[in-house]
Formats: sequence, structure tokens, C-alpha cells
Amino acid sequence: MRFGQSKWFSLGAAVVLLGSLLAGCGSGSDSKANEGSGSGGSDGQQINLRISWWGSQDRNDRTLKVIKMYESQHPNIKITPEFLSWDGYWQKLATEAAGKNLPDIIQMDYAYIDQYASKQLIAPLDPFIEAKVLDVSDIDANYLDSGKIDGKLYGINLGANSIAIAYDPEMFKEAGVPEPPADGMSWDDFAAMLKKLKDNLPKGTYAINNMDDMSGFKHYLRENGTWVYNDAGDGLGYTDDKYLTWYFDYFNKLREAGVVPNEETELGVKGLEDSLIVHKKAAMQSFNSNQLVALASAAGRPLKLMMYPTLPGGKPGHFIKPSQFFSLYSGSKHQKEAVDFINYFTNDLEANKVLAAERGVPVPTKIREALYPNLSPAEKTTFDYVESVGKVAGPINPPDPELSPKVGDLFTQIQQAVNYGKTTPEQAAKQFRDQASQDLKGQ
Amino acid sequence: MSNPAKTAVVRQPDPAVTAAGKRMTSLKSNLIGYAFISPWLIGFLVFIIGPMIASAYLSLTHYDMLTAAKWAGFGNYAKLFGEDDRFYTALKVTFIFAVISVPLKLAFALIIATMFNGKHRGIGIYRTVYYIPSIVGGSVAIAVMWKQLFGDEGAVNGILQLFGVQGTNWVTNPDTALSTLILLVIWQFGSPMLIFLAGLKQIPGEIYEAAIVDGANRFQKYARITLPLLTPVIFFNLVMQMIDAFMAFTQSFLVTAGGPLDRTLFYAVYLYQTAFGHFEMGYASAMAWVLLFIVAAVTLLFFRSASTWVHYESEGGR
Repeated sequence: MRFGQSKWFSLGAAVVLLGSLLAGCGSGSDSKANEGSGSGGSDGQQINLRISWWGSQDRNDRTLKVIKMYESQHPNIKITPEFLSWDGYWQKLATEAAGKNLPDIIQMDYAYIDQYASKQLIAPLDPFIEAKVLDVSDIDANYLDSGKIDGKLYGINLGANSIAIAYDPEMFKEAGVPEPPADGMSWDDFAAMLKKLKDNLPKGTYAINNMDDMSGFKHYLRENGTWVYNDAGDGLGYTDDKYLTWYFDYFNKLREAGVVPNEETELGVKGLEDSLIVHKKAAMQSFNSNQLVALASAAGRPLKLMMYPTLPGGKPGHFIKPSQFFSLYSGSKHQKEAVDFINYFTNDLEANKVLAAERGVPVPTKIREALYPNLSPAEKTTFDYVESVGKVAGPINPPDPELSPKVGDLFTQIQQAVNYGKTTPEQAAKQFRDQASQDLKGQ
Repeated sequence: MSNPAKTAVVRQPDPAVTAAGKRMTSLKSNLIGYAFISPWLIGFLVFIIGPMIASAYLSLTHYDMLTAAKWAGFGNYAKLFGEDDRFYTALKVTFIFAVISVPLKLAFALIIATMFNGKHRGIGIYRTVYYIPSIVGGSVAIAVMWKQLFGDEGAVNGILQLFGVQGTNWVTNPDTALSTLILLVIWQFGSPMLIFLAGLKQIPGEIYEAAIVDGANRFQKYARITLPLLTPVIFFNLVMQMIDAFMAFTQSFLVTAGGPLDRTLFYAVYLYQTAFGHFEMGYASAMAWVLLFIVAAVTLLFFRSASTWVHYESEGGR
């Protein structure tokens, strides 16, 4: 009997423990449900929005400040920010998508927008333009169209961008080499200039980083009137391996001549702020134009921009790339409010003064013009660069297919094998074709 | 529960009924036990068994996280073994890494533990200092520091230069990258060292005294007494470190990112790239299950071999 009593007591205690545990879970989900129904109510009630972006600390600070400004103008709206680095961002977003719990406003990249739109995770913005929530009247079609898929607008461009080559005018003077023309030069002239730079700079200094990455190859393909991916996104878009062979061969020669660094040195660079040009170990550096402010401040001296090399008689290689978009989650309960914030972010001058074109050159004409006089020299250089690229740029290619990250990895692997001298440009071009074609076919 | 009326009449207990009764009582008392560990049990079911079942299911599908999983049968496994060259690269790298790093790490841990087993002044401080890499070793900061130390202009090359040797970038050179990571892992020898130390402390002093009386020298004492009596601890450390080595991730991911030329593509890093780089969750789940079976098979091999070399004193010297 005594034993029985204590047994029942302990069982009871366990049940209480278990019960409280379950109650804990239960109340958690309850409060969530309340929150959902509460915020779903009429005007004047507290509305919670979630927004996510990737980026540097500088971007986080600026964006948070704009959120505060918006909240003070809209007391009934509370915005919860989620920000990460680029690497972790897409993993978190995919996890949230799997849990049907995406943020209302999603910073989106050109490489992913097609995937998210085709799976209807982000909503078209056109109804909000018609309803005058979102104002795009001041945005050039050039800048707007990159956010369109099948004629519908799935993302608002937050900044215009293009690939670019930064150079240090002082080092050019030192080497006695005339500065390159801003609108670029032919691949042959470019190589000749690099060699001259190398010969006249102090020993151990390179002319430029080894820029044989995929964005350079894409540029070269465009100049040849073709593209990496076919329109269906299930195979390569170019048919002749001569392009990739030529491309790797071009940089092989430069590397053998010591004009660009070997792969050990190239891979040893820890991020943009650690680039060779920052340490005065190279006179030039390839990158994206919106990174100039960061690069110039890391280098601590003024840098100028030039366009990528051109192909005589070829098509324009440059295109204006949307640095990123804001997109709307299709499952958002407060779509109108979310779009209103996107509109504020895009069109409000005060907000854009705080943002200071850190995401790339703003797309509304009025904002650009209003910001220009107060820009820092590096920012001015970026604005001018994007404007001059806009004059010669060709139309942007369709967004990369869903399986492109794998192809990007493959390119990097093969590029490394070439740069380490483990394979020849011919073999590399063929290997890339075989493997990429298979990867793009999918499972 | 047994029928009381029946037990009252039939004095001789029915074996079947008693067995059932016993089972019932033991079930009851077990139930109480389960109730007490229920917080842990629920966590185990929800956070370990649940995801395992989910991953077993996903390994038979194509799943990109954005859309519902599509049934694929054993397609992922077939592709893994049949077509995927990088899978074999990753296996090779992981095996080389495990086979080289684990014995070296254990040997190092044992030597240091033996050194610290005596009574010296400030021995506690030394033990702590040598344990520190184990605590901080897995951290991001150490990985970044390692990259710096073995970089083009790192401390290692600086020291080499004093001797007139022109170093390379050890981390990005395909021939030295894996060795750099192995070195990083060996450096984190603290936890096996502590376990060795505990094992050494447990060896009774009388045995050594008896050996001294018999005229054994230091080497004989170590080889004939210390090592045999330490084999259970060595075995434990070996199994644990081997499992750790197969699951190694941080070092490669942060220092070399699997490169250069896939020379440091640990299995776990390739799995991560597949899952979170290419969003092939089904394929990655299949890879995870294959890893589980490989680790289980290797561990089983160790346990099988244990009877030939591990010496358990308590079980009549088996």
C-alpha cells in the first residue's frame, strides 16, 4: 500500500511535469494564433511586418535607420528585421519557405528571382502599381524590366550595377602607363597594357587580379552574341567550346607572364577588403561597381573605374544588373502595407539620403539627381560609371536557371584546375560542357 | 494483472500467469521511469527520431525545400554510387584525413598525458594550457587565425624565412592544404589527453612497485604495464575520435571551403554544399544515410577487433 501510494505520487508528479511541458507548447502556439488574428484586423491595429536582407554592417545600419524612420511615420506598423550575410541568407530563406513562414518583404537577387517567382513564393507587384500603392512612374524601363518575369513585375530594383575594373591612377603614373579609356579597350590592347604595367611596376606587383571568373566569361559570351544558358534553362546556350578555351587561354598566358597572380595567391585573398589592390600589390581589380565605395575606403586612396574589355566588331558585353530587389511574399497577410514600405524605400528622398546608394545607384531619376551633388568622390565615380555603362549596355539576359548555383560551383572547380595547371583550356572547356549539360538537365 | 481468485484456488502458480504478471509489474515500474525521463524522451523523439525518419523519407525523393518533395525511389542512391565522382573524392579525402589525423592525435595526446601524469610544480597550469585548444579549436576565430598563420605572409612563412626557406600559401596550395587541416585537428588533442590522464591515474601503483621489485626498467614498465592497462581508454578514444573525424566539417569549411581542387572536400562539407548550396535536400539526405552506415561499419570493425587487443582487467583479462 505504501509502495502503491508513492508510486501513484511519482506518476502524478510525472504527469504534472508532462502536462506543464505540453501546456508550455500549447500556450506558445496559442499566443501565436492570437497574434495572427489580432494583426489581421482592421486599420489602427498594430501590424507586424517582417523584412529580410543580406549585406554588410554598413548596409544593416543604414537599413535599420530607414526602418525606424518609417515606423515613426506609421505608428501602427512594427517592422521586424532579419539580416544575414550572403552565405547564410539563402539557406535561411529556403528553410522559411519550406515552413511557409517567409518574411513579408524579401531582398531578392537576380539569380534567385525566377525560382521564387515560378514557385509562386513571391507575388506580382502589378496590382499594387494599378492601385497606386507602388509608384514606378519615375523609373526607367531599363531598370524596371530586370524584375519582370513573363511580363509581370516580381521585384523592385534597389540599385543599378555592372561589372567593372577599378584601377589606381597613381600606380599607372608610377609605371608610366597612360590611364585606360573609361569605356574600355579591346582584349588584345588590354593584355598589352597589363604586360606593360607589370614590367614597369616594382617587382612582386601584379597588374591585376586573376579575373578569369564566371562573370568575366559571361561578359565574353555576350560579346560573341551568345549566353551561358539556353532559354529553357536546361542546357548550355553556346555550342562551341572555342569561347571557353579562348578565355582560359587568355588568362593562362597572363599568369605565365606573371601579369596576374598564381592561384595560391589569388585564393589567399580574404574578401574584397583584402584585395591585392588594397595592399598596392596590384594596380587593378575586377568587381561589381557598387563595391567601389568599400574598396576605395579599404585602399585609403582614390580609385577610378573602367569597363571590361571589348571585342572589336562584337556585341555589347556590359549590361545593367539589378544589384538586388525587394520582393513581396505571396503568403503575406499585409501585402498592401508591405508594398507601401517598398514604395517608401524606393521613392522617398530622405530614406535614400540615409541609404546613400549603398545598394547600387538608385533607379528613380529624381532620387539620383537629388543625391548626386552631395555624393562622396567614390560614390560620384560609381554613379557616373553606371550612367556611362547604361549608354552602351545591351539588354540583360533572362535570370539564371534554378540549377545555376551548381553550374557556378562547377565553373569555379574547373577554373581552379586550369589555374593550378592541372588541365588545359581545351580539356577544361569540354569538361565544363559535359558536366554542366548534365547538371542542368536536373534529376 | 493475475486473477486473484485463480491464485487463491490454485496454490501452485501457473508459470504463464506469473510471467505475465511479472511483465506487467516491470512494465508499470518502467512506465514510471519513462514518465520521469519524458522531457528528454519527448525531445529525443521530436528532435532526433523525427528528423531521422524524415531524412530517411527525403533520401528517397527530390526535394528543393521550395516545392513539395517528389518521389524518386532509390534514384539518389543510384546516382551517388553510380555517377557522382565528387562523392568518391569526398570519401577518399575523409578516409585519408581520418587515418592520418586520428592516430597522430591520439599518440600526441598520450605522450602529453604521460608527461603530465607526474607531480611537478604548476602541473595544473600546464594541463589547462594544453587543454585550451580543444575548447577554442572548433571556433570560427581559430579557423580564421589558421588561415592567417599558414597564409602567404603568415607567421609560418615568416619563421621559415629566417632559415632561408621560401614558403608557399599552405592553405591554398593543393599539395599542402589537407596537411594544414590535419595539423589543426592534431593541435586540438586536449579532450583525449584528459581522458588518457584519467586512465593513467587509475592504474594502481602497486603494480609498478611490484615491477620495480622484479627489476623492470622504465621502458618495460610503460610497455608492459601502462599500455596494456590503458587499452580500454585507448579504445574509447579511438572510436570517439574516428567518429569525429568522419564528421569533421568546421576546419575544411572555414579554412579551405573544401578547396583547392577538392583536396580538402570532407564528406560533411560536400553534404553541406549539396544541401544548402545546391538545395538538393533529397540527395543530401541520401548522403547522410550513407555516412551513417559507413561510420557504423567502421565502428563495428573496431569493436570486432577489440577482443584481440583491448585488455579489460575486470573481466578476467579478456
